[in-house]
Amino acid sequence: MKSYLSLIPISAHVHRRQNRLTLLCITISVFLVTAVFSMADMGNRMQTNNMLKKHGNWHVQLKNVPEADAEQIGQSADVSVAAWTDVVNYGREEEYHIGKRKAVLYGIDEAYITDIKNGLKEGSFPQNDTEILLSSNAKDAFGAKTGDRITIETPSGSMDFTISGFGEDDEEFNALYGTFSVYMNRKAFEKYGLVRNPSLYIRYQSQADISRHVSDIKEKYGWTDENIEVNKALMGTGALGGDSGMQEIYMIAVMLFILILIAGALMIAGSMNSNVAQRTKFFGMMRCIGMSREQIIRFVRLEALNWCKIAIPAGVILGILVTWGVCALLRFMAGEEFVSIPLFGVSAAGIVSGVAVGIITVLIAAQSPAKRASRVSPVSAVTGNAGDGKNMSSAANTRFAKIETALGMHHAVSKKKNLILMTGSFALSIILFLSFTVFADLVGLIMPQKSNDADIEIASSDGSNSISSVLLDELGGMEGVTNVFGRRSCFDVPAQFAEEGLSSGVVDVISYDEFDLDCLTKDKELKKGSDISKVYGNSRYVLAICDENVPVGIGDKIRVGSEEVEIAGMLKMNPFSSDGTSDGKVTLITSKETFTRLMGIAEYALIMVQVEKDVKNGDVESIRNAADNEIGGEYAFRNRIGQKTGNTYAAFMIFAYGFLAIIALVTVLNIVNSISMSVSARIRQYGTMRAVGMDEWQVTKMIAAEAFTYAFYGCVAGCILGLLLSKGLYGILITPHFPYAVWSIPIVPLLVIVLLVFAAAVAAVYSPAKRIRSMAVTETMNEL
Amino acid sequence: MNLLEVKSISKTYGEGDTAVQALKKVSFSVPKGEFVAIVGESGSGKSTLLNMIGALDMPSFGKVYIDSKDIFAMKERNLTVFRRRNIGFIFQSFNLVPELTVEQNIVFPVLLDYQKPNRRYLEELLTVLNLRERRHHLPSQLSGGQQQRVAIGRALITRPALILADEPTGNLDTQNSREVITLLKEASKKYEQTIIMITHSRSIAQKADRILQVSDGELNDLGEVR
Repeated sequence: MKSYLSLIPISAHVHRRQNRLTLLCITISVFLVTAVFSMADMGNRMQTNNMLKKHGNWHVQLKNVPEADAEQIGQSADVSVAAWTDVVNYGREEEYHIGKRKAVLYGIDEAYITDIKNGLKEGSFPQNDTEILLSSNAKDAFGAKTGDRITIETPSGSMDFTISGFGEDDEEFNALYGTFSVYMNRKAFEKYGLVRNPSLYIRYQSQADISRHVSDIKEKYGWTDENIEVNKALMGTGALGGDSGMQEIYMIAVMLFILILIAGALMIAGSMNSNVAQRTKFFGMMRCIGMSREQIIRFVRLEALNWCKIAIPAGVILGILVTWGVCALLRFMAGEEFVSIPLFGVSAAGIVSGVAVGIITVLIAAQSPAKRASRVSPVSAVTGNAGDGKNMSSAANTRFAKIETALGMHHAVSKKKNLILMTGSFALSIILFLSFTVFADLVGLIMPQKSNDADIEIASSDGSNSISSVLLDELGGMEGVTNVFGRRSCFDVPAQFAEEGLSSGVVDVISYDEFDLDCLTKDKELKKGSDISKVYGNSRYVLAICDENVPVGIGDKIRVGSEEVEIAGMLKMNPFSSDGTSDGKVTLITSKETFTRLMGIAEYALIMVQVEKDVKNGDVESIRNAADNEIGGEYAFRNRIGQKTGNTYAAFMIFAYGFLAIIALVTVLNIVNSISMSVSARIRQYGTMRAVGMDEWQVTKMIAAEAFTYAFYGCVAGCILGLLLSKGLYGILITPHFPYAVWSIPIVPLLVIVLLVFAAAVAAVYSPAKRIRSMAVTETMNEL
Repeated sequence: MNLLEVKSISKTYGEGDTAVQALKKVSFSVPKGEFVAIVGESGSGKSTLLNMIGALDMPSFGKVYIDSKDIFAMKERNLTVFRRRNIGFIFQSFNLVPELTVEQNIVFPVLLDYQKPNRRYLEELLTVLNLRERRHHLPSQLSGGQQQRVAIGRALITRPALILADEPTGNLDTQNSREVITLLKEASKKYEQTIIMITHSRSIAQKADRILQVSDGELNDLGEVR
């Protein structure tokens, strides 16, 4: 032994069992923070990759400026890449076609598609005015190949080109609107008189000084924001040192960091307090043989930091491994946007924050126990009941409960500081749990998973009911299609309300096919008291959508045209508005048969198609071709397959509930640890009690009473504060964006966490009770 | 009639080379109402012997009979109840329950038996132990002598046939030590209780009816005190 501090590892080895759970608590805290920050970091990297892919790797775009000036800026030494681009028919209003589908024409420098957008997939950039580069969807649409001849219909006639290759800069746009992108070199664009409003994309060599470059340009040329656009999407991800976008994710990570820090500190402080309490005689002896108070404080602190040697690396490694696992899960199982998430990324921010939380938590947690240990009197070393009941101010109440129960409860409540620590630590777990359910709710609202979400929408161009039901039948039998259903709609239909005081005398009437109606029940979108069964078929019942302040309710009658219909049910929110509100308007949902009877219309305004998960591009093209053939004229074809959020939603839910599970695990461990420590601290007393006649069952009951008292106080405090916080968070995060969403007491999560706390209390009693039972009475009495 | 019979008990701690034989085939008996003092050097095996008699620890070999009952033949739960009702313990370090008042500490074994304490007997004990004024105090508010008197009260409350006292005066001054021994002797006579007391003090041992000496795990009967 080189110094008295060499005793620390020896003592740690001897007290392995007591330290085991404390070590686990530190490991879990470090793991959680490492994982949360690493995931935030990976999310940032993914976002950067996505933004680069979606918006391109450029810093500024110069537009509506003299070409010579822009050219001059593009040639400056600190510019890495500069590329011109011009576009025709981006709004899809002009008659540029390839076959029946609209085409968007681009006149670009080669660097635009190869470098700025990184979008060249196959072949080469057009070298002359007879070549074009085509978006890849043309391959699926009509089997185009490099070298094929292709005709583009323009308002001024047909133009023939050779396909030099495939590539594109906006797959989502083409998928959504069913357009083709056609890329020409700038000479060809000029030759065919397509030049409109060219702009110059610039990427600087250094990412750091974008703001300075922008202000310099503005100052030199007198340009405004209209002329110079910054790639905010890329800036927002932090890739360019920007300060928005990902900041929110980091804010959440910081919030979790603080919560975990508090939870960790409470947990560890609780166990350390008990640890010190059970070694009073040891510290007394140390004081006896000459250790000063300061040395005792240093001893306890270093003893706590000694745990970090194992717990921090373990937590960090676990955090990194879990991050890798979650990233892999997201990459391979979640939506399209997660494809670019790094697989084996190591986040410096994650590691640093994990290490920081480990050290800070332990130092905060060690503060009070260290002082407590330093206050132990040297006399404690020579008297057996050192410090026992020294601070006891009141006696256990044995009038209302059996002696062992009364003692157990008193053990829990007698030391206020300990009670606050234990209650706080239990409560914090519950608060974390209840708060996190708000995030889960938010994910559910941001990515609502509705059974009637369409993968493909075919809509009449002017919203009229003009699509024949024949198309619906035809699509129903096609390869890759799982469900087809349609909607008819009539807006501002004059209506007479039985209820007076309604501002509007018109309603919107929309028909739902049977599948659509089924989905309303399946997704629990109907208000209480609704009876949707009356709405099916040719009936005189409808469903209604309106705001709370419009006095229309179930059972009310409305005269639409010559007929009176009755409201059989109400929807909780308006599915036709982005924020779920109806803005004072009343919308009626009818069955298709009722709609036809009321409105005399049998054609559809919208056909919605759901396809198989692994639908082939060829199948989608067949659907489009069927629509082309059936509708003939103008219509909108919206392919939303790439926008499906089902997997992303599932991934977020796995993440959210995974976090909840970890919080639950921490709760369980904390309770088990605390009870175990508490028992260890009183083991001598239990020995005495056993000597004077307390049996094993009574010992177990006494420990159980203590555990359940902590659990009770923790639950009361946790539920009250947790529900208040849950309501507050709901008001901040959800209500402003989703006005129809109403906070209600999260009964299921509340029951889950309360049951879990009590189940953990039961589990917590088992091990210490068993330990005492297996020890001889003299052993428990003499244990130090 | 013998209340206690110890028959050839041995206790060995550890195994092999590290084995320590704390008691070596100790046998003796104590009649009802006798006050026996056990003396011996530190580590001689006195406390081990007392723990065996009180069924706090199991012997490696041998038997202990209390009131003709083989205590180690009992099941754990029955043994606990037997101990609660028939044996009173007094420890050197008092070992009171810090959360309970003087009165609650005294009636503790009765409460563990889910019985109502006999109020008259309790009052009598409080009076004898001179603790009436202190009945609602916590152990931390008492002097060492008072705490030991509470421990004596706790040992007497169930009117056990046998009281085992492990250095009951070890933490007390001379005056308190004398009082405690007097109390124990009076109790022994008044309630016909058998007392076995460990002590280091020869003078205190002289107050007993008989002295046994333990040396290196072996017992010698030093005979009756005159």
